[in-house]
Amino acid sequence: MSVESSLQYQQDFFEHFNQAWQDKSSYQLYRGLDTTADNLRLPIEEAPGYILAYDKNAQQELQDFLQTRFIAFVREHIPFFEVSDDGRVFFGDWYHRRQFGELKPVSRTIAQYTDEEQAIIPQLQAFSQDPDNYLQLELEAMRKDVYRDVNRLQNQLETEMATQSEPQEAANGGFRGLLKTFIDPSDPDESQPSAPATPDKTKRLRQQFNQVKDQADHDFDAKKRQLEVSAAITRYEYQAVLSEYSSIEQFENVLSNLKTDFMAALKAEGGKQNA
Amino acid sequence: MLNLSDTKVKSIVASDLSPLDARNQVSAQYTQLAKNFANDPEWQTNQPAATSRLLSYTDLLAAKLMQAFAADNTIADNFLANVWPETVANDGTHSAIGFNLNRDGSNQTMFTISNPLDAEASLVANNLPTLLQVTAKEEADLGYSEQELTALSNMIKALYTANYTFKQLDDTVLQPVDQLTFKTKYDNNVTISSHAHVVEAGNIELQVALDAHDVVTGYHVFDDAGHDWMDLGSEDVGATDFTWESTTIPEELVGNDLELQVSVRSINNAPALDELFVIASSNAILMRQLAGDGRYELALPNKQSLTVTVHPETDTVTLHYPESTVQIYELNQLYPFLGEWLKSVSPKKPAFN
Repeated sequence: MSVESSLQYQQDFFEHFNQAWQDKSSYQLYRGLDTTADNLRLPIEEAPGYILAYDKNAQQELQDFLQTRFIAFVREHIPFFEVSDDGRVFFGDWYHRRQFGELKPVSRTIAQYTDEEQAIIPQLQAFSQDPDNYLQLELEAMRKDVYRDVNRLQNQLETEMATQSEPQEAANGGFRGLLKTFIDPSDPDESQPSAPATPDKTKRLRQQFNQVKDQADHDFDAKKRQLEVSAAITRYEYQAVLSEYSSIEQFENVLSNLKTDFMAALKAEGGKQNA
Repeated sequence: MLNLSDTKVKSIVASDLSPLDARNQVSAQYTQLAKNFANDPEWQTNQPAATSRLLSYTDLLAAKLMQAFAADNTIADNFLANVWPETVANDGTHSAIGFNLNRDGSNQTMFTISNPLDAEASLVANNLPTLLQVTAKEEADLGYSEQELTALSNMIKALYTANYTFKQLDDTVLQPVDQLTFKTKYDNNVTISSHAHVVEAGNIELQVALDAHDVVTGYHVFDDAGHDWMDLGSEDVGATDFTWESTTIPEELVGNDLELQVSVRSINNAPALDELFVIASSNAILMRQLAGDGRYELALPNKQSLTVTVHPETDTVTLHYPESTVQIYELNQLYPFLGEWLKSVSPKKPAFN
C-alpha cells in the first residue's frame, strides 16, 4: 500500500470504529477489533489497546460495554450457566455449584484458569461414559490408591508367613483372617492375624500392616464423602447439560462455537442500537 | 372429682370444643383449682386429694378430646370405635392419657399425651410406625392397616392443632415434616488453631478468627509436650475472634510453641447437609443454598420446596415444609429419599420400639 492509501485505510477504519461506538453497536465494534487483529496478526486481546492508543481507561470502558452484552448473550444461550455481573460463570445454582470460568468479552470466550475449572469438562466426559457407575468406579480407584501400601505389606507378610512351618499356619488360621480383612476393608476387624511366637520380622511386619491399614481405613472414609459430594455435583451438571443438549459433545461444541454464535446473534439484530 | 355444679365445668361438658379449646379450657379450669388448693393450708399437703383431682380433670380432657375426634370426619368412625383413652395420675402434678386400640379384647397403646394439662405437655409414641420401619428394605409390618394409619395420622394431626407435639424424631413418622428439629449423628465441630512462640515468662496472647455464627464449644492451649495450659489464662469470645490471654506464663515454658486450639461449630461444616446433597442429587432433586447462612432448599417435583436450616447454637437442623400438617410418613411415600436421609443422619439408637 502507498502511504496515502494506508492513511486512508486508517482514517476509514477509525471513522467506522467511531461510528460503531457512537451507535453502541457491539457487532460493528467486534468487526473492527477482529479486522485489526487479523490485519496486524495481533492476539485479539491486544486489539483494543492498539485501537485505543493503549489508554487503560478507554480500554476498560470498551471492555465493560462489550461485557454487558456478552453476559446477556451467555445467560440466554446457555441457560444453566449463572453469570454474575462481573462476568464469573457458575455451573447451575445448586449447593456446592462450581465456578466454570470467566467471560472474556474481547475474545468472546469463557476462560478457565484454575485446575478445578479445567477439570469440569473431563469429569463430565467421564461421567457420561457410565452415569450409573461413575461414583462406584471413582470409589474403586480411590480404594486401590489408598490401600496400595496395605496391599504391598500384605504381600510381604504373606510371603513371610509362607516360609514358616505349616502347622503354625494351620493352627492359628490368621492367614485366612488376614486375607479376609484385605478383601473387604470396610468390614470390622474381627479377625486380625494373631499368631503366637512368630519371628520378629513377621511380628514387625504385622504391626506395620495393622498401622498402615488403620490409617488407610481412616483415609478411605474421609475421602469417600468427598468423592460422593463431587460425584453429586457432576451428576447435577450432567443432568443440566442433558436437559439442554443431546450430549456432552454437543455442549462442548456450543462452547467452542460461542464466539461464532454470539456474532451471528449480534448480526441478526442488525444495526440496532446496543446490538 | 369434678364439681358438676360449677358453671365453667358445666359449660365445658356441654359444649362442642375443638382439641385446642378443650385443652385450653380444661387446663385453665384445673390450674385455677389447683392453685386455690395449694394456697389453702387445710388442703395443700393432701397428696391423695391432689392426685384424684388431677385424674378427674385428665379424664375430662380425655373425654373432650374423644368427642372432638368423633366430630372430626377425617378420623374414621370404625377406627375410633376401637380407641379408648386410659388416664393415669401418678401424683398431684403428673398425669397422662394413653390412647389404646382395642383389638379383639386386648389392648395396644398407640401413643400417650404426657402431662396433658401442663403447658409443657408432649406426645410420646408407644406403638407408632417408626423411621426404621418405613425405610426398611423389606416392607415392614407397621402394625396398622392402611385405613387405620390414615385415621391415626389424622388423630395426631388433630392433637397438633392443640399444640400437643412429639419431641423426638425417633418417636414416629406420624409427625409433621414442617418444624421437625433434631440433632444429627455427626460431630459438627471443627478445630481452628494459632501458635505463638514463648520468648519470655509473663504475658502472652493467642487469637483465632471466628466466622459469623461460629459457636465456640471448647478450647485448649498446648505446649510442645502436649500439656494443656488453658487454666493459666482466660478467654474472651468476641464477634469475630477468640482470644486467650495469660499474664502468668512460667519460665519453664520459654522456648516452647504454645498452640491455641479452639473447637467451633461452624455453619459451614454440616456433614448431614452434604449427605442430603448426595442423596438429593442421586434422586435428580435440586438442592440449593439459600440467601442467608445455613439455609438450603430442595425443589421437590410436586413444586413444593423442602427447606433445611442449620443451627450451630443448638447443634440441630430444622426442616420446613409449606403444608405444615404433612407428616414424614406421607412425604416419604412420595419421596423416599427423605426417609433415607433422615435415617442416615439421625443418631444411631441401640434398638427401636
